[in-house]
Amino acid sequence: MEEAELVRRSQQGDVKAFNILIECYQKEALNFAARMLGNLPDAEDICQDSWLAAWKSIKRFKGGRFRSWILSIVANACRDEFRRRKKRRSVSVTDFPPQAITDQRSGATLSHEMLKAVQEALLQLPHVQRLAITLREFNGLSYDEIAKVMGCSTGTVRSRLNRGRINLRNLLRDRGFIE
Amino acid sequence: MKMWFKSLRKKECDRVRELLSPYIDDELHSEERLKVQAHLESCQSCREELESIRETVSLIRGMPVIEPRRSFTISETTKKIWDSTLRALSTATALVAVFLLVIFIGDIRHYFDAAPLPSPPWPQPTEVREYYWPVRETEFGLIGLIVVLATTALVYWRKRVQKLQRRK
Repeated sequence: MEEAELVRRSQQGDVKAFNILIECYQKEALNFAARMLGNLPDAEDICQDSWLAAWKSIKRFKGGRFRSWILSIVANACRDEFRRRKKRRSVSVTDFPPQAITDQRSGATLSHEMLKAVQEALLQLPHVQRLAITLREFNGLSYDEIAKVMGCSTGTVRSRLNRGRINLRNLLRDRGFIE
Repeated sequence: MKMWFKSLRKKECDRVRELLSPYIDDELHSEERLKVQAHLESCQSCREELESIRETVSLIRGMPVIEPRRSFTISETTKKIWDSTLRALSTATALVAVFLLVIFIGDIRHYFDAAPLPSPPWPQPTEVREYYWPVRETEFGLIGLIVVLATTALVYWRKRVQKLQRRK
């Protein structure tokens, strides 16, 4: 069944159709939230809440790509969670359990120390830069799709991504992971 | 002259460095891409900048993919529990509660009290104010109705949850 048909059925109250959509995108949404928050249990909670929120507001979805729509819901939830954590001063990286990790996409095997350093550096970036980088590098979205999720222009995405990468490079360089 | 050339060169480098990310991602128009390429061929420092950003990108892309430990699918019971009967019962309870609140506020503010009776020529009775209609009795009646409706809704909800769980 096509995505548009699944969305239409979900809008008519068909939970089974919506669950098919969840199964299609749950891995992507979880990886996105995990990289945004640096913590798997929090990412799981955020994803659960986001899927419920998406189900409740599916009637307001007015076409376009469902993937961008759900990622924007998760992105907003991550932003709120990050703000709450900042208030509690508890922004930290939790090690991801090895059984949760399945494959390396680029073939490059990163050491545990390097993985943690990259995740910590990501968390130090301003929200918009982290969001742009996560959507690009982990979700593989095009600049146009990122612009839709972030609600800004493609030019702004370009600049946020560029600054984010430069900041990340500087942070990793300070820790000696990049020459 | 040398200073002017240096400053011009720096400006050009800054402009190109803004475009390095879209250059890596192949998100530049062909004209911009050619300009960046031409600059990179002649500028060692921008080439080094490009390489370090590429290295950063490859580090991020080397991060592992996480497999969900559980499914996030939504339970159908969440939707099925709220059928039309339960919705009607809860709506009726809410409406009666609102009506009770209005009556209660009116009662506190004495909106339902009678106006003082005109003074008759004979000695006045001690009680000069009286209710036009039985407010207190209405209030008690509404409270009773809310209790009945809410209890019915609760019992119905519990039975429905048990029924759906048995079906699962």
